[in-house]
Formats: sequence, structure tokens, C-alpha cells
Amino acid sequence: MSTYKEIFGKYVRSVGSDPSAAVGEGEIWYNTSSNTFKSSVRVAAWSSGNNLNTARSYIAGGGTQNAALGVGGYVGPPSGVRGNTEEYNGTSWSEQADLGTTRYSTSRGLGTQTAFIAAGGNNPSANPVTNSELYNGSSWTATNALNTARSYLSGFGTSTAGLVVGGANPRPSAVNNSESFDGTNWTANPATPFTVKNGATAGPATAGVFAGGAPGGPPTSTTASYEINSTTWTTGNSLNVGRNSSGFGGQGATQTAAWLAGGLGTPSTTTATEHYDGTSWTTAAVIATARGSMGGAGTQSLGLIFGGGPDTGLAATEEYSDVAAVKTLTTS
Amino acid sequence: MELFMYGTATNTGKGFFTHQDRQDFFLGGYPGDVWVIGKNEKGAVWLALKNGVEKTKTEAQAIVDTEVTAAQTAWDLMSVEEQNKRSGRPGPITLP
Repeated sequence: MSTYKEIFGKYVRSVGSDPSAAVGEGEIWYNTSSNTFKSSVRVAAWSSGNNLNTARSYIAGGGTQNAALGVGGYVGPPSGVRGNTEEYNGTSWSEQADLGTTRYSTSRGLGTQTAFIAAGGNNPSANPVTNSELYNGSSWTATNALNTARSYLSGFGTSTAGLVVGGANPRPSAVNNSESFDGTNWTANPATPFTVKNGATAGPATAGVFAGGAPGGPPTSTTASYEINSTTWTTGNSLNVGRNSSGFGGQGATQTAAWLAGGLGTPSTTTATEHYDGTSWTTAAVIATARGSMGGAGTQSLGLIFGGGPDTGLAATEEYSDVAAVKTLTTS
Repeated sequence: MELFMYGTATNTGKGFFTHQDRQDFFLGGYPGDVWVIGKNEKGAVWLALKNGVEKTKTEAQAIVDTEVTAAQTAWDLMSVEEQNKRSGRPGPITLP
């Protein structure tokens, strides 16, 4: 039988205490205090977070795993549109000031927990609106309105350099409108090369990626993805699993480290997670509970999904982490 | 050999299932607080610690079916106009 030294050219180190997980990643060592062989390996998984205070679907999200925002939503039928705003601090959700104009399926992914834009969406009559509001960490203020009313739209960037694309007006039709936001006004941009609602986004307005979505009526979904650089859209490589209404990082993620999780496939929901490295989409650890129309926040290595549905609404939160951890090696 | 066990347990939030749990055994959540759990010692201990109630696959599927049927019925009672504005009729779910 080969020895460790014959394979790797070195003996296993003996140490009195473990190196940090990050420092020891990929190494094997012998801990002379515990008399055990140990290693540090990267482990990626979704774990449960505390539940939303108000279960709901069609919820918008943004921010990071430890500073996320959940906005608006729907529970039903019978119709119950929610204007609730909740903040997540990495441990629990707390109720904040409601949206000024109650709606659901407003723009997702545009901004942070303390500077978030909720544009468009459906009013309680399920009709698309042009309303746009800014959340500053404590209250909502109306901004100038979108040029084109729509719901199920997707957002990139920040509250002073934002972009919304796609959406429905009304569902199940999809639109190819694109509008940018400078902190004051919404300006119509040239049409996008896709006509899709409920797609996933990552990154700033001038260096983002857009993936999936529903081009037609339910339950259709697409695997297509696109990148935007400056103002130019190019076609990217396809998702492995076609879906719409996924959880995703939006402003919290980047064009070269994007992610999306779950969503509505054809015909059922999926647990699949995929990561994008700027070139291709690869599968990652699955979420525990299949769902769509949920909120999302965070980075590719520290992600967050919450709520979602079916329409009856979920409260469950899941946190993704991809971190190195020290493990004791055993023979089992 | 059966790969899964089935049970009901209420998701209490943070710590209900951990990063380590997801490494130790398969776990999938379904409507009606139904959980499909990888059938090993750690999976069985997890269900017990969560005050879960073990079910047969048939029992668990029946709980899920009841939830799905209720959601489908609610969907069918909506007008076509309302339906067109939402994500679609909930589809059937078959437990693994």
C-alpha cells in the first residue's frame, strides 16, 4: 500500500492545535492533543434560518445574508396582498414600516437593506402599476414612477444606479422593457433581447447577468441567460434547469459569482441551485424545500432565500454557506 | 434497501436543520410539514430531536396530496382572469 509521503512527497504534519479552517483547507494533519488525524474541507449546504413573521409569496428581496430585506407579497386565495417589510439580521426577521402602496411582485434585487427600490408590481386588483418607492432603512418614500407599468420585473444595481428589466403587463404576457434609475428618474432604455418575466439577476446595472424566467404563460420557463456590460446585452450559456421565479442575489451578487436557487419549473417547483462563474452555470447544493416566487439576497458563498410559495405562502428561510470546516478523519 | 424515511415536523426556524445535517443525510421538505429524510442513524435522530412523527411513505404522501388538492381547489375557484395573473395551478407532488 502506498504511503502518504509516497503520494504527496511529504509526511503528515504533527501539530499541537488545529490551524484555522481557512488556513488548513485541503491539508491533512495529526493533532497531538486529541491524537486524531484531521483535515479542513469546503462544505456547501443550505440550512434553516428563522421564519418570516408574515408568510407570503411573490416577495421581493435584496441585501446580504446578514442584512437582508423582504418586501411586499401575497397570501391567498382569497386575495391577500401584503405591504409588509421585514429586515433580516442573520438571526431573525423584524417587522418594519409597510410599503406606501401595497403590492406584490414588485422589482426584486435592486438595492440593499438600507437603500432598496421597490418598483412596479401588482396592486390588490392584480393589475400592474408604475409606483416606485425607496426604502432608507426605516421608511418608504415615493420616487418618480416607472414609465411602463408592470409586475414580476427584475432589478440590478443600487438605488442611485439601478436597472429593471422584463416583467408582465399583464400576466401571463411578458415584456421586453428596460428602464434605468439614477436616484431620481426612471429612463426608458432600448428593449432587451429577451421578453421574459420573473428572471433572476446578479450584479450592478452595467455588469450584470440575467437568467431564466418565463417567456409566456405559466408554466413555461427558460434556460436562457444574458449578460449586460455597459448598455450592451450578450447571450450567455444556458442554465442546467429551466425555471422562473427563483431566489437570487441581485445586487448582492456579481456577474462572475452569480447564483439562483429553486423556482418554478415545468410543471413543478425545483430545489436546484446553480452558480455562475462568468462563463457557465454549474449545479450546487440543493435547497431543502422546493419553492418559487421567494425572496433572495446575498452572495454566491453566503446566500439567503425566504418565503415563496405556492400562492398560500411560506415563511421558511434557508441560508447557504460554502465554507471550510475542520473535520476529524475516521475509518467509517 | 429503503433509502428514505418519512415524517412530519414543524420548521421552527434557525437550527431546525443545520449545515451539518445537510451533509449527514438527505433532507427534503414538502407541503403539510412533511419531511423526507435519508434513512440513516443521523437522519432518524434528527427527526426524533425535532419532535417529529414518523410516517409511512403512504401516510406522508396522503398528507402532501391533501395539501396539494386544497391548493388546486383554491386555484380552480379563481376566475380565469385571476389565474392568468398568478404563477400557475399547483402541480402534483410525488414523494421520492
